[in-house]
Amino acid sequence: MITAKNLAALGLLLAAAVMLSWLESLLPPPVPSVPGIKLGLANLPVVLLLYSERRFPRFVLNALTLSIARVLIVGFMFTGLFNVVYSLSGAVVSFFVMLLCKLTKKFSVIGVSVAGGTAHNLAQLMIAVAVMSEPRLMSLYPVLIVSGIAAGFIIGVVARLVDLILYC
Amino acid sequence: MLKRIGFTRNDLLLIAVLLLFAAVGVWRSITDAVNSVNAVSAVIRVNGEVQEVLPLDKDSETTVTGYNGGVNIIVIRSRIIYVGEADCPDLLCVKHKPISDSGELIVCLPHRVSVTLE
Repeated sequence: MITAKNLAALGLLLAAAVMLSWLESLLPPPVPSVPGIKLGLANLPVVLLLYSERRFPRFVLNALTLSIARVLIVGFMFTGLFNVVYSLSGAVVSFFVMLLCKLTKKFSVIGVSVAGGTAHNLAQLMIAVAVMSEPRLMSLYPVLIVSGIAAGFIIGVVARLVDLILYC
Repeated sequence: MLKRIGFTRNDLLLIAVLLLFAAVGVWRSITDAVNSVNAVSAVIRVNGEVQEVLPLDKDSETTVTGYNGGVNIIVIRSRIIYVGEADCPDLLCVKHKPISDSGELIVCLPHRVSVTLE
């Protein structure tokens, strides 16, 4: 059953995710020579929803819905359709990796977010290799792992801080 | 500080393992670079298929038509190669620093164009 509270929260966070994507599109790329490196601010609401089980019983479905809806909206609004296949694969793979890492109960939200960020980048790299039929692209993987760790770390810390503020 | 916000030893372990993977890749590309012979030509591929092979010792400007009809202009100036102009949405290929060593790579994902030095 979809409750009003659930729907309202999902709408609010979706709006926040779209706005964060827009904000990020205004910033210059942190490493201009490698495609795909970014902070992933829009992943913040997804991480928050993944850790909202105390508030929403359907938090897993919420987070997945948010993640996919965000990619489609942002794809149509700003980045263009060619990006959607990359964004979508990154978002879906990173979502399930984060979910698995969270279910193991071995990592904090920071570790989960680091795993998600890295998985996102590696999934996009695989898609790029497949789409371009260019195996040499694999040589970019160390850069993408490091940037995934950095982005995931920052998003994880921010998510934790937001969580602390919301629950205190 | 990090401990206070819940950073655990497992998180650190995860980051260390991932960094180790990255280090292996960096190590491999360093040894590749040391063992590499000087590049003689720039190979331009569209969608994985070789479109053009340009000699590095001759300055040139080549217009490449990408997978969906987009255009990238590949420039060679004194053995250094870069993308001078393109009409892709992200322009990452144009922002990429010029390349000159074998194994280096410039890609334009939207147009499925890649330039490698071989």
